[in-house]
Amino acid sequence: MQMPHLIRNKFCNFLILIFATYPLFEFAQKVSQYDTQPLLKQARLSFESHNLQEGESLLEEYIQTARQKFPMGYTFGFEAAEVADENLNDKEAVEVIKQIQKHYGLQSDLALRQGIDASLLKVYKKAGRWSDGTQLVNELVGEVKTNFILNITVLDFNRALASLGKTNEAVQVSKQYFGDGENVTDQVVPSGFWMQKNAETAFMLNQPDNSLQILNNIEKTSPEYYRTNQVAIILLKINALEQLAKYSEIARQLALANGLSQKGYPVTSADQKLLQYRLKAYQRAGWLDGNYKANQEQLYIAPYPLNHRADIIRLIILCTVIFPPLVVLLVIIKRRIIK
Amino acid sequence: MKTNASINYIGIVMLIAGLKAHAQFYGTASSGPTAGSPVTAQVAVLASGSTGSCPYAGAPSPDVPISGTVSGQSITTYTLSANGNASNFGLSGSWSTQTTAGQSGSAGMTINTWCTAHNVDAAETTITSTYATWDQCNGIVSDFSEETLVQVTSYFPRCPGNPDSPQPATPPCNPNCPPAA
Repeated sequence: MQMPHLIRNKFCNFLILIFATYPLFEFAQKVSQYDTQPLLKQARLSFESHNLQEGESLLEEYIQTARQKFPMGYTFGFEAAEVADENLNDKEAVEVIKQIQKHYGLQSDLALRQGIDASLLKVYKKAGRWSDGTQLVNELVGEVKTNFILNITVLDFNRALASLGKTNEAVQVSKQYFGDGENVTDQVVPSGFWMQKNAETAFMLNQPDNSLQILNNIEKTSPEYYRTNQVAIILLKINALEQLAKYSEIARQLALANGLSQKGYPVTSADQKLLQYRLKAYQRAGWLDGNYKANQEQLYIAPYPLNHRADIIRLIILCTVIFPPLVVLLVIIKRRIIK
Repeated sequence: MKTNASINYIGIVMLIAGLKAHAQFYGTASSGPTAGSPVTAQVAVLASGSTGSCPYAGAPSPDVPISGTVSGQSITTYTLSANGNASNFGLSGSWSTQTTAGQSGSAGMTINTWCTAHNVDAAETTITSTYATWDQCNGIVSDFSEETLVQVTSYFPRCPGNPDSPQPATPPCNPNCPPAA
């Protein structure tokens, strides 16, 4: 009678083991976020078996099919090129991506082709081909930048140039590609966003004057973006002003940001945290008063300021509680000694 | 019977865990691939006190750790780097990490700082790092959002000898700095 029960239990346990461990085997396989698209998955498999031509035609087929299905889409070129980048070595990936790029030279292909450019730029960055990358960005200068993915990839490439100390190239990319933000018109973020990012790059390049100039331009060219991001922009100005050691102006800007924050202007939690740190630091350094109003000049703050109220209380206790019994005690002792 | 019941119980827990892992793994399929961007970082240093030319350039200051949690519904690379000089401090550091589908993890970097001025009362390093994520679906980018981490570290590089200088127990004064004149 026990046997069927035991067999059933063992069978159940076996099934459970298979179900429970299956995802572990699946994680061990190579996966790509683009595998959800059958043509891209086939292309990946072709590249893995070193069949570059087949892979390339599958990528082109993917772009055409997706484009027919979603005519407003602009990320298909990037997605296709990414599959080449992920599954080929840098040299092969550049060749394949350039081949795909050749098919999209028309003005109507602009947004789609810019996605392919974004992927090519990523490969150049990964391979450390900085001059090729800079040249590619220079070729895009005259175009209207409608593809968000290209814009953020250029920003990333530029930050990499800045962190490598390639200042001249980074300044060139900043000025020529992003400029005053007029030509950067993707539908994902407003042009003021790209100007703000450009100002951050200028700060990283130790070019505070340039950073301040860009930030001041946001108010003129993107007034709505400026209004909703004013506190964040002031915090960036403060970063640049610190590089210029203009502490008095920083104190004024901090007081302004604090006032705006208290009036209910939008501030992210991270910026609020940063603002509070800044206020306290500049208050400690003597540039802001107790109410976070800007001082005209830095006030010297003694490291251990006297607490007058506590001192007066101590004095009163000393005079009324401790001194009289002591005097009485001394008088008693003196009398006993005399006796 | 008790043993069998325990085995079944463990098995059921494993089954639930397995199904949960499946759900997590395939969770993104309906919403399309999600993409992420590299991280950007800004570093600023506020130093108070009288600063001057430093004969002891390169003396070490405390390193600034920064960490954050990264998660990815898709395969995403995050990188962060900091480089350059801010006020009287040199900075350098970088990290990069990659998340894979359905996984999350933490990553951190240490920004190496070194003082180039010896007569500074106190210094505060502020690092803000930002990473962005968005959805790519049907050829359109949507749901753009940014996450920002703020890290502030205070330290006091001036050495003992000046009565006006605050002397906290931690972090200790830099032993390589000369006493204040």
